[in-house]
Parts: sequence; structure tokens; C-alpha cells
Amino acid sequence: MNEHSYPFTLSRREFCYEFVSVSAEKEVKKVVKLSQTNLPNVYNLALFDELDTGKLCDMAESNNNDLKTILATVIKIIEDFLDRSPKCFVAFRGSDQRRQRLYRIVIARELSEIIENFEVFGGIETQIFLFKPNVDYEFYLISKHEN
Amino acid sequence: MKTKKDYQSAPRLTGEQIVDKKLKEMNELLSKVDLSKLPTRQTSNQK
Repeated sequence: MNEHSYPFTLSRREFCYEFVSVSAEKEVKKVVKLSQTNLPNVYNLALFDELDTGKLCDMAESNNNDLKTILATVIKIIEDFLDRSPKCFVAFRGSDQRRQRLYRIVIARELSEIIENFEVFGGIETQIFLFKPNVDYEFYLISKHEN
Repeated sequence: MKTKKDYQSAPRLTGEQIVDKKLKEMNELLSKVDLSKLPTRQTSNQK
């Protein structure tokens, strides 16, 4: 075909969940993006605040006193995604050391419940381990047991 | 891993750029591992 054509781009495969963090003082829109990585069955999870400007920010401190509820919601979102895509993995890491540690603490706290339906792995350099509390991982992976 | 201060001093990125950056970082981490050989948790029946 020799016809002139327009330039085009291929968008990455991405799923977007949204919820609202609510307190007596304010409401903060949260966005969870699950983006396909170079490994087709692995999706990277990123949590954002949507600012008043409409821009997404991964370092915002919304201070809405509902951290537990937010993280419980993110876990529900992971469950929903893996229920729809049972052969996939969700990969994530904290955007800073404090958040990375926080995720480790939350996973450790909820581990007994999570592993009823899912498996949690931690990655360090070239190795993937079953998640254990009190170990510093570079990233986390969650999958359904069927994998 | 970068600290919060590193990110605060970094130039402001758009949401799309942040997603791209996070994806790139995760792709680098995943490129080093083999997901076909994942460890399995010993169940209580196997103990």
C-alpha cells in the first residue's frame, strides 16, 4: 500500500481504578493504574492522588487519616483485577522507602488472610522469594494460587 | 531506592510520565528474574 498515512503510536495496555478517600475535612480522588509490563502477564500497580488541577501525583500527602482504608481498598482492587485476570501477576513497589516499608508492614499484617486466595512474593535482585515479614524486598508480586 | 527527598527535588512529572517511569523501573527489576520458577508455600498438609 503506497497511500500516505498518519503517524501512530501503540498505547500500553492499562487498567484504571478510581475511588474517593473521604473524611470530615475533604475528599481526595485516588487513582490506581495497572499497566502491562514487558512481561505480558505482569501488571505494575501505581497509586496516585488526583490533584485539584487534574494532574496525578504519586508523592502527595493527603493526610486524610484513612490510610488503613486506602490500603484495604487497594488490596480489594488487586483482588478484583486478579479475579478478572487469574493468570496475571500484580507487581508493585513503594515510591519511596517509607512507602515501601509501609507496604511490607501491611502485607505482613494481612498475610494470613491474603494467602487463602493469593500468593505474595518479594523480589531481591535476581531472586523471587515467598514473602516473609521483616525482609526488605525491592518489589512485591501478587498472584492467584492457580499460577 | 530513592528517598522522598530525591523525588521532591526531582523535576515535576506529569501523571503519564510518572507511570512511564514506574513502568520502566519495574521492567528493569523484572528483567532480572525468572517467573517460571516461583517458590511455593508449604501447606499445613505438606508439613
